[in-house]
Amino acid sequence: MRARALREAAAADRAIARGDARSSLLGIPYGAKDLLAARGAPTTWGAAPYRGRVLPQDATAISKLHRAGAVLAAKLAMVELAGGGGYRYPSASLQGPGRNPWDTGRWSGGSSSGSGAAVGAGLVPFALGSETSGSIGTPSSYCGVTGLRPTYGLVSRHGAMALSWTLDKIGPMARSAADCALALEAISGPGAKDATVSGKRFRPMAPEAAREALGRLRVGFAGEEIEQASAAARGALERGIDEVRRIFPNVVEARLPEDLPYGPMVVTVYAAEGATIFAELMESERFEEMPDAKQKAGLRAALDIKARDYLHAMRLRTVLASRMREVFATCDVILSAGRTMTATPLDHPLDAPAPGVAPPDPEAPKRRPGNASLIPAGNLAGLPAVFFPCGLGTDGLPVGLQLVGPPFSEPLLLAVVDAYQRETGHHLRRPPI
Amino acid sequence: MIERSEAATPGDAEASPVEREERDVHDRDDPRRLAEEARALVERQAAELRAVKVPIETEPPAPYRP
Repeated sequence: MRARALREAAAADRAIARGDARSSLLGIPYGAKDLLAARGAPTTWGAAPYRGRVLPQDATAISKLHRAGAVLAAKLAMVELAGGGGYRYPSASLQGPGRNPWDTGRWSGGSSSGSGAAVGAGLVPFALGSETSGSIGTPSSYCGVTGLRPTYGLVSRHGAMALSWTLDKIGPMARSAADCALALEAISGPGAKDATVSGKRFRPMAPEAAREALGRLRVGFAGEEIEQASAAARGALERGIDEVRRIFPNVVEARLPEDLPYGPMVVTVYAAEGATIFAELMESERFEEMPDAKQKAGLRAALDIKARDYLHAMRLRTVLASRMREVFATCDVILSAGRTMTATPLDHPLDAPAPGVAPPDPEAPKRRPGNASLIPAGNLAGLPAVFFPCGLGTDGLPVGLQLVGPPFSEPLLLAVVDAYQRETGHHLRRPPI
Repeated sequence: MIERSEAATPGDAEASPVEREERDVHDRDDPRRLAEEARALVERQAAELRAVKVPIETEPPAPYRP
């Protein structure tokens, strides 16, 4: 890893010396979630069965960053197998629990735990993460960084561990929307080794086009999900939303369809695909090396998901995609909380109610969900999202918002968040380390 | 699905709150219990999915998208 980083850095030095400024990323160090293959560095997928493994190839995203002159400085810790099967503790990782730079007794989120922590701590200016359902969004929100989940098919997944062929996305996490745009420009576009790649390239909006688009922006918002936020996060979320309203006053009501079971849909899809992908591992003795008993039980149980149910979840995705087109006829982007709570303590079971969040009361009248399911819905429909910080909670930990748009709306989403960040500066706050 | 009763755990009357909490954590991570819970979850999710009907007369073609 060190030798590779020094080699790439020396090459960047030589290019700069001869005036070959081929890209804004020339000589810029970055880290990559350990599910991306990189020559000369271990690729463990965060899982003990793959400890010390070195793969003989670069993932396409890594190759593209290499060509842009960026320097791979670190492989970054992650939840084992990107959390496939579900897991109970942040310690479900070969590298140990992801520690949050804002409070090392708190989790950095998962499954791109190291990507969030490293960018949040300022160890690298950007990192690559991946999202199947929430794995860029959660660490971005918990660590106070800006994360971009691309449209399904914008970035090649070749050389990345597959958890779910139909849900996985590779995206950048950085200190700002502008930095995410630089990284996304480098990694998006054609990739012959991933048949799901659209071939579209990301290009940031030109300033004049951005001014025009932002001037007539319709922000969709529901709000019920903010009422369910933890005591620590709620105030910062409300202030952040007020700031968005001030900058983009054309806010309209927009809600996800309320008759689709987002949780069962997304879990059924990634559990069935993930169990198939890791079936051989589960049948081997190495499987027992994984520490999280709940995750192992979840993966095993997923082998028994019926084809009928997997395919029904897939057909409901088609319904959802069509319904989301109707939602985006009424607004350009949807705004919601990134996460409705701040980072949880490292020893807090992830399937228990978060501190400061009341457990659901079965007797209480059913409330409208608002856009509480925006993470699974956005992933199921293959929609892009930007997660960005909007301040600190009462516990001093980062709180963030998310903005979701139609397929391939990354130029607009990043322009909106860039405008927000120029106005507010929340993304400039650093942890006290 | 196998239902469990927290109150049925033997020895609750004698256990201190700390002992009870430690035992609860141990029980929660018991592989057999976790396997039961995971299987029950798969069934619950299947039931929720199946409750959403898609009329085949008007359904758009093919859930597969490369």
